[in-house]
Amino acid sequence: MKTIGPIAVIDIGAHFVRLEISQPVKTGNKYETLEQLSQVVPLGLDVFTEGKISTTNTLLVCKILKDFSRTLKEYGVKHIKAVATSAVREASNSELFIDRVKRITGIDIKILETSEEARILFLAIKDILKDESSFNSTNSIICAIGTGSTQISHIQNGTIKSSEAIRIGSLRIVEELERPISAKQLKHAIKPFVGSKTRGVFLQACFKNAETLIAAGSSVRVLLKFLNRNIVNSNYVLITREEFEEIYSEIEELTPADIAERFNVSDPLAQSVEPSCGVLFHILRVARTNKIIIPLITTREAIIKDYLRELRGIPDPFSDDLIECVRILGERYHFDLPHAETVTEKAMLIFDKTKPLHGFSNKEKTYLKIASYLHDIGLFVNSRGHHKHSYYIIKNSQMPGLTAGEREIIACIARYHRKAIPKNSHPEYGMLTTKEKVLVNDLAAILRVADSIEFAHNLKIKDIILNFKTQVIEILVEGVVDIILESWTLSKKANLFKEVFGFKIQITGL
Amino acid sequence: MENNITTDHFINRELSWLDFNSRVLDQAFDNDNPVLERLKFIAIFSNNLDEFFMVRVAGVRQEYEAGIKKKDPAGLTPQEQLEKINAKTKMLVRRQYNFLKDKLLPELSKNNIQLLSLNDIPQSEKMRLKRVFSKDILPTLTPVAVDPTHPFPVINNKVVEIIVELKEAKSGQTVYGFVEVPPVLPRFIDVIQQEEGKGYILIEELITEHISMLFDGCEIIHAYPFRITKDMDIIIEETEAKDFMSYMERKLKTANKRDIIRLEVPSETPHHIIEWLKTKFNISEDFVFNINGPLDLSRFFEFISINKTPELTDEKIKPLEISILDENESIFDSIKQYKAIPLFHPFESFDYVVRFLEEAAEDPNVMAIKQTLYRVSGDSPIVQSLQKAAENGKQVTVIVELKARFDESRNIIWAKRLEDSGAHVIYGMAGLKIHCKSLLIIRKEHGIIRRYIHLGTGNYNDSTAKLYTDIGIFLNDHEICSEVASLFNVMTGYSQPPAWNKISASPFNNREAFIKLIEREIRNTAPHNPGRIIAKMNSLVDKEIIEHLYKAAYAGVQVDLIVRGVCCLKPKLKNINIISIIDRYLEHSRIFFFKNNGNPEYYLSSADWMPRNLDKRIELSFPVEDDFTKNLLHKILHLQLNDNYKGRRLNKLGNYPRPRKRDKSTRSQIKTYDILKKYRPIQKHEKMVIFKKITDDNF
Repeated sequence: MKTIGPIAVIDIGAHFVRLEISQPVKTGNKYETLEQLSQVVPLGLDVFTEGKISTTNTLLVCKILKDFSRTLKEYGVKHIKAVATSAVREASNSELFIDRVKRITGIDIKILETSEEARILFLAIKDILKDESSFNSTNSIICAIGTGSTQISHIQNGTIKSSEAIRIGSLRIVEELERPISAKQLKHAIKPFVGSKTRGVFLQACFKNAETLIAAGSSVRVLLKFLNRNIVNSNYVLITREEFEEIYSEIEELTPADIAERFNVSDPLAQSVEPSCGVLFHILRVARTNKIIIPLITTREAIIKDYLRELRGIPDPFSDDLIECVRILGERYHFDLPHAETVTEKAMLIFDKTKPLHGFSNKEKTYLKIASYLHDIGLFVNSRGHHKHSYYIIKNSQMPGLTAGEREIIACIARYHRKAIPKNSHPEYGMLTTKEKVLVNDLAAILRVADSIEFAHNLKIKDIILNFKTQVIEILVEGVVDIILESWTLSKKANLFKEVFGFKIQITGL
Repeated sequence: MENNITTDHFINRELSWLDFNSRVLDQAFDNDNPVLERLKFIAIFSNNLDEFFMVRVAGVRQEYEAGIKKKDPAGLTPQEQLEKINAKTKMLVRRQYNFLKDKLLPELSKNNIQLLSLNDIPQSEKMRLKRVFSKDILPTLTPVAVDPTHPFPVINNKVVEIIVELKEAKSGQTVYGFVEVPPVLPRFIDVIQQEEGKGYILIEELITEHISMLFDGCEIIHAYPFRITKDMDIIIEETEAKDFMSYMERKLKTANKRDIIRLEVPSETPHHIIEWLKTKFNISEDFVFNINGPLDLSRFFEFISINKTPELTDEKIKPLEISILDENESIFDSIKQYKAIPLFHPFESFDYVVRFLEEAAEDPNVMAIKQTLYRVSGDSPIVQSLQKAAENGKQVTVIVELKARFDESRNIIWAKRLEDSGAHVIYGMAGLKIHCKSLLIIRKEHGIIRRYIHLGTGNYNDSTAKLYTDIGIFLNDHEICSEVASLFNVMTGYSQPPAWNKISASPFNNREAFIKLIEREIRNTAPHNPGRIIAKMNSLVDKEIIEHLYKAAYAGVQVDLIVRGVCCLKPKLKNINIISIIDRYLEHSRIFFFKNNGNPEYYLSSADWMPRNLDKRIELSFPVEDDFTKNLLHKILHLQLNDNYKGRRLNKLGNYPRPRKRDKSTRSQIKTYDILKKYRPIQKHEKMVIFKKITDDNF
C-alpha cells in the first residue's frame, strides 16, 4: 500500500479554529495524532447575533491559518482538508469570508454541511458501537449537539433511517435569546426554548420508543466529568436516565464559571453545557428513552477517519445507509417501491454498460441511483407535472451525506426523467455550473431510457451492446417487443440520450 | 502536634541567598581545593554578589522606597531585610578580603605567583612600567572633570573608576575628575622580576601613580579607585513589549542612567571624598562598602586564566564517551533503538547534542527543527547548526529568550543573523521568560513522520555544559513528543495550551502538577509505609510549595531536599532533610522523585520551585520513564543525599554548619562520574544495564 503521509484537518467552528495533523498507522483505519493546535475565535458570537462574520474575526482567522500553514510546512503535509461548521455555514457573508481566507492564506475552506456532518459522525459512531447490541438490534436516536445546530438521526438495527438538522445549538440558545439576559433568566428560558424548536421533529413516529439515545458533542462529553467513573480504554460511556437527571439538576445549580473552574474547560464550552442538557432532557422525555450512550469522539476525529478512508480509496461505507434513507423518504411520500426498484436496477445496468461513453465514477452512480429511486416521488402531490414536484421534494428533503448542491443535481436528474429536455431557460437548470449541467444531461438521459423500458411492461434486459461503428446501443430484451410501445416511449424518451451521447437506442427482442 | 505553618518555618530569601554565597566562599577556604580553584571561588563570590545587588537588593530597595511594609514569609519588612542584608554582606566581604590577604595571596606567593604593589618593585622596573603606561594605557584613558557647566559624567556599572581630587593651577580651585579604567584592558599588568616566578600589579595602581599625566597643569591632591553597582532589575512594561527587539535595545541603552545601589571604596579613601561621592550618587552610608584590598575581585577570573597550571587547578575529568552515540552511526537510529538516551553533563560531553543538531541540519529527511535558546553565545555551534539547517531549506523555528539577564546585547546580534538565514525567530513571549530547554526534530522516514526530542535541565550552551551539572535526554516517545510539540505551539503563539497528560509546563499546570504529586504522597503515607519525596533544585522559594512540603512532612512523608542555593524552608521537623552541595561543578539539574506507594516516579525539570519559575516563565517538567535513566537518577540522588564532603545540611535554626567529620569518599560529583563510567554500556549495541528494582531500602 502506498503511504499517504501526514494529513491535516482544519476545523473552523463557532469558538475555535483548530488544526490537527495526523498520520495513518499501518493497521486498520487507525491513525496517530502529531499536532493539535487550537485558537479561540468567537465566530459563533458574530454569526448568531449579527448574522455575519466580522472583519476583525476574518482577519484573525487569516492570521491563525497563516501560522498553521507554517506547521503544515514543517510536517510536509500534502493532504489538507479545511472545513467550516456551524458559524460559517450560517453566516450571510460566508462566501466572502471563504474567498478572502483563500486569497490571503491559500487555504480553501469547504463548508461542512449538516447532512455531511451527520454522515461522517454516523460512520464514526457506528464504528465505535459495532459491538453494542442495543445499537445494532433496536431503535436508537443519535443526537449530535453542535454550537449552532443539532442533528437528530433515527437509527434502526444499526442503520440510519432518517436524519434532520434543527436550528438549535448550545451556543445559539445563549446568543439567540434577547440580551442582556441574566444567568437566572437564561436558565428559565432553556426548557421552553428547546421545546418550541424541536416540536416538528418528533412528529415522526419512529422517534417514539427509541431504546437508546446516543448523545454526541463536546458539551455532552463535559457531563462525563460529573460522573465519578474511571473511563479508560473505552470509546463510549453508558449512563442511565436517572444518572443524567441527577447531573442535570446538579448543573442547574452551577454557573458556567463554576463548571469552567471545576472541570478546567474553556468558558464557551462551560456555557454550552446547560443548554445541551436541556436538549437532551427534552428528547429523553419525548422519546421515552432510558439509556444514554455518549461516544467519545469529536467531529474532527470523525472527519479525519473519513478523510483517511477517502485517501485510501476505500468506497464510502455510508452509501448503503444513504439508499436506506432514500427509501424511507420515498415511503414518506407513498412511492411505488417496485417501480422505483426496477427503474433503479435498469438505470444502474445502463450506467455500467455505457461507462465508456460517460466515464463517471461511483459518486455519480449514487446520484443516479437516488434520482432513479425518487423520480416519481412528486406523484404524491399531483400526477400532472409530477417531475417538477419530484424536483421540489428532493431538493428540500434532508438526506445525510448529501450536500445541498448534490441534492440540487439529483433533483434535476429526476426532474428531467420526462417531458422537456434540459434548457437554459429553466431556472433550476440554468443556475447549475457547466460541469453540473453535463452531469445532469448524461444521467437524466440514462434515467429516461431506464424508465421507458420499465414503462414497456417489465421487459427483462438480457444484455446491452454498444456498437461504436453504427453508433447504436442495442438493448436485448426477453420476449417479443411491442413495437407500438417501443416507438411511443423510446422515441420521446431516447431523444435526450441521442442528443448527449450521439447513440441511437434500439430494442431487440430475443 | 502543632501543624500551623508560621513565619518560623521560613527563611528570608535574600538572607538565604547570602548563606549560599557564604558557602561558595567556604570553598575558597577548603584546603583540599587547589589554590587557583580557591581563588576562583573568591571571584565567583564577588561576581555573584554583584548580580545580587543589581537585581535582588535593588528590588528590596525599590520596595522599601515605595513605602511597602509588607512582610516576607519569614516575617521581615523590606527595611528589616535591607538592614540584615547589609550587615551580613559586610561581614562576608570582610571575611573574603581578610582571607584573600592573609591566606590566599601568601599561598600564591609560595607558588611563585605574586600580586605586588608598586612599593615592592625596584626603580628600574618602575621605569619600564611607566613606559608601558605611556605607550599602551594612556591613549585609552579619558579624563573627565566635573564642573558646573557640564552634566555629571556617566559612571559605568561595575567598572573600576578613579576619582581624582585636583587643584586647578590657574584658579586655585579644588575640583574632582574621573578616569575610567577601561574594562577591555587587562586588569593585571606583568611585572618582570629578578627571581623566578610571576608578578603582577593592578592596572588602577599604575594609572593612579601616573594620573598627573592626564590632568595637565593641575595639582593632584588625591586619586583613589572606586566602583559602583547599579539597579539593573529590568521590569518589562507589557504595553511597551510589543516590539520586543527594539524594546530590549532601548532598555540596554538606558541602563547607564539607573539608580546606584552600591558604592565600593578602598578603606584608605579620605572621608571627604566618600562624602562627596555619596551626595553625587545619592546613596546612604549603609550602601557604602569599605574594601580592604583590590576592588572587583570577579576580575580574578582573568588572573586565574593567565596563571593556570595543572598543579594549581583541579584535576581534569575527561568526559565519558557514550558508545551508543558513536560517530559512525546516526543519532536518530540510536534514539530509535534505545528509546531514551540520557546525558549527564559535564561528566558526559555536550558534543552529542551539538552533533545531533549538526546531523539534523544536513539530513535530507529532516523537515523541521524547533528549539528554545536561552543564554547562548553567538559563536555557539548550536546557533551555527541552526543557521546551516535553515540555509538547507529546513523549517527552523527558534524561540530566543532576550531577557536572559545581562547577556542581552550579545543575544540580539546572533538572533538577527539567524533570521537572515531564513529561520523563523521568535523573541520570547510578552511577560513570560522562556526558560524551558527543548529541541524538537521532525523527520520523514519512508513517508512516515517521526519526531525526536532532546529535553534538558540546562541551557543549550556548550561552555556552561562543561561547568554545570545538567541532565539532558534524547527521546522518541510519541506522547511526549506530541506534548512538547504543542508546547512549542504555545510558545510560538500558534495555539492555546492544551491539556497535557505527561508533561507539565509553567505557567500553566506546572505548579498544580507538583502540588498534586505532593498531595498524592500525603494520601499514600501511612505509619508503616511512609511516603517519600526527594527534590533536587537550585532554589526553593515558593511559599505554596513549601507549605505543601510541610503538610507532607507533618503527615509523615520523608522529605529530602537537595537545594544548592536559596532555600526558604527552615526544617523544623526531623523528617525534613535538606542538603546543599557546592563543588567544582555548579549543581544545576532539577530532579524530582516521588515514591508513589512503591511505583516511584521521576521527573526532570527546567524549573526551580520559585514563584518566578512556576508563574512567570515557560518551564517544562517531564517524566523519566525508562529504567536505565531512572536507576541512574536514583543513584545520583542517593549519592547527593549522603555527600558529607561537599554537602552541608541545613539545620532547624536555619544554618548550614560545617560537617564534623568529612569523608572524601562521599564526594557525590566524583562518585557520579564513577557510576556513569561503570554503568554506561561499553560496547555498541550492548544492552543497557538494568539495575535491580528500586526499593526504598536502596536509599
